[in-house]
Amino acid sequence: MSSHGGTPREWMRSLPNYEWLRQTFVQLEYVDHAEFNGSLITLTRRENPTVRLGVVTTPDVTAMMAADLTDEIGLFDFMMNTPRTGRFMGDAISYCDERGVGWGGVGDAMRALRYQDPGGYINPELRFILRGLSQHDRVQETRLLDDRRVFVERRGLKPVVLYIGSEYQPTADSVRSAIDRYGEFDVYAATNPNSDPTPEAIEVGDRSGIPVIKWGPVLSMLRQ
Amino acid sequence: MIAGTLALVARNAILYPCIDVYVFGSVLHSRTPADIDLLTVYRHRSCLDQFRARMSHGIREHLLDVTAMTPTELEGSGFLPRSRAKPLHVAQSKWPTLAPE
Repeated sequence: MSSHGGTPREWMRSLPNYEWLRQTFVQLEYVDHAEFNGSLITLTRRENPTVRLGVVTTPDVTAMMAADLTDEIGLFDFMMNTPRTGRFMGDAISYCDERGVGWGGVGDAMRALRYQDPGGYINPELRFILRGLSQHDRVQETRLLDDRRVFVERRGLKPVVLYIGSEYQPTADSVRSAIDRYGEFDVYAATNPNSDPTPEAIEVGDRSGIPVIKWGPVLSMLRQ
Repeated sequence: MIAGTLALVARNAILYPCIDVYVFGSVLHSRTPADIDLLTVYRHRSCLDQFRARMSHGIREHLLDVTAMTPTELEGSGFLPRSRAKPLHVAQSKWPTLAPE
């Protein structure tokens, strides 16, 4: 039984015929045609190969759901979860990565369609963070716990879990929502270089023992 | 689709005088925005929670990227000039509903 109250297969089959999804994709200049068939959207592109998009609508995407989706529609290039607040769990990310399948929300799918191979897509903010961590002298290994939290194993130091807060403006509400939705993490990393977390955001973090800090200081903190 | 979604947001926002809604980002400048960036300024958390709950029904929520802050946060952050956010009705005027969606 999954978190939404039914089996993943039942959940996927309950997908409505989203007219708004069709409108979203056909308005893209690089998409020629969109064909919907249950959980599969086949997108014919103007210059690049046709893309098979697997669609789910669920709060939390798990590997089991990804496997069920594969059973239902066969191989696909990109797995898209439609709710803005949806989350890909670590096992689903591993499932997709191992099979060369891109993953993400509707906005990610739209960006991935610009790639010749959307299976190679990774969210740009996440890619930036993972690259930064991979080049850090104290970081031994990283693992995605889900689409926002990175488990960071450090050389000679205790591991830490970072929450990637990439919103335009980190606020008290965004920190509170991150804690409510994603549960345990050690540091809220505010990765948008153009805005500082508000004092209220820092205060909410302090009350939960979670420092809310910008990306540069996070990299310094990883040495401590 | 954008005009219809803005209209839905406006219809919900009018029910919550404790909320001010602004729009910023590509929806103000592009004819094919990927999403709608909303700034919601709330006076009480309960009001924000109610507004959110209401918006999650019947709104194409995949289109909405909501930043929420208190008036104090708004004032201290300089968000309005930085983001060039406009009140919702101004954004709506850029997206007239020509036909029922």
